[in-house]
Amino acid sequence: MGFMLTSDEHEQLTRDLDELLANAEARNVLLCDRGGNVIVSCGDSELENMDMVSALVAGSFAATKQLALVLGEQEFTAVFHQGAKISIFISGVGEEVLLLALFSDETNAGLVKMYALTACRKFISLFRDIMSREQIKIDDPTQSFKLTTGPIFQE
Amino acid sequence: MAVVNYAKKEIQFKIVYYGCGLCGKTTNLQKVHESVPAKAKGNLTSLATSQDRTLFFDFLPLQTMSIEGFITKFQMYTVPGQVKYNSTRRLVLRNCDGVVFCVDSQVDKTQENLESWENLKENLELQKDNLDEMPRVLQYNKQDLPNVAPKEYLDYVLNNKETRIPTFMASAFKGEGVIETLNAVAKLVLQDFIDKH
Ligand SMILES: Nc1nc2c(ncn2[C@@H]2O[C@H](COP(=O)(O)OP(=O)(O)OP(=O)(O)O)[C@@H](O)[C@H]2O)c(=O)[nH]1
Ligand SMILES: [Mg+2]
Repeated sequence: MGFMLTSDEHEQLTRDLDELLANAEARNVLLCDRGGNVIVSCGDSELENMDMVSALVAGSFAATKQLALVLGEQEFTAVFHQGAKISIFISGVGEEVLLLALFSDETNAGLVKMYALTACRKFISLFRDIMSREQIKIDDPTQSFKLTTGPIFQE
Repeated sequence: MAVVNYAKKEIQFKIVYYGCGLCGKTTNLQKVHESVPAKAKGNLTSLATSQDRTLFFDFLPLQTMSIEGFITKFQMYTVPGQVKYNSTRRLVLRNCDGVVFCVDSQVDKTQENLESWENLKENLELQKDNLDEMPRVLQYNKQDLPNVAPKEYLDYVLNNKETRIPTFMASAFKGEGVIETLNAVAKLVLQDFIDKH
């Protein structure tokens, strides 16, 4: 199990994210799995901490899902955190993925939501294909993985 | 579950520190953060109560070049050990590729360790994983304390199956055995990934 993105799939996802970024006038958009791993991210490169953002977003989305269950909802499909300068829109993409858009106070939240939800529908079907594909074909030269020697972490 | 990105030449794994309350999971991650060179680590984020008990998780991103031609990222998490936070533990375990089970080796903690161990098994089963197949190591922590149980006893309680789980004696507080534990679990995770691909 896992997400194995081919270069083509990565390009496709990046293109769609870039489009969303431009249309919604967001600062950053990213796709991560529900365990908090970044799959693809686009936008403002100042934000280097995308690993941490996605870990926290996955955690908070999952907590919100529990809350929904307690209230008799299946899931809050989309969550919105509003800040003074930066806001976040998070939406589930199928069972395994989250879409996240960071945008500034100059952007209209409704616009972000509309474009994000449109993009979501596209991502759902893309990820359905990615997840159902068994393995990446062997003619991909990067297919075989080799471990490097020596200790992994040093003090 | 590993995330492989061929375009960026990057592979991500998730490793979770599990164990009963106060056994030293957060301390492990803090020592890892202190020890590894700056270029291999990001910031350590802790979602904790005002008493320093883990409320949600600790998170530390690490980076190596362990697979030829790929940046290898290890996303390190701890769970909250307190019994009442079980739903949070399940969330943190999601999509994990390897587990460090941290043991509080003090004699009077045996029952708590055992309950947490059973809880780990249950939670993995709920997400259709199996502890016996998961890359995993045991860390017998707090060896600097006087009232620790002998290794044989801890093995008897927690490591009594035919296939023995790799064990590490540690004092996370003193920083002893922490990097050894980390290297061992990372190695198992990498080997498991290679075997499956
Ligand atoms: N003597 C000793 N104390 C330790 C050791 N490791 C951790 N501690 C102490 O045990 C206490 C709890 O450590 P934490 O790392 O916060 O424990 P935890 O497993 O993260 O606890 P939860 O977040 O509640 O699950 C702290 O006071 C630590 O300093 C050790 O090896 N020896
Ligand atoms: Mg903790």
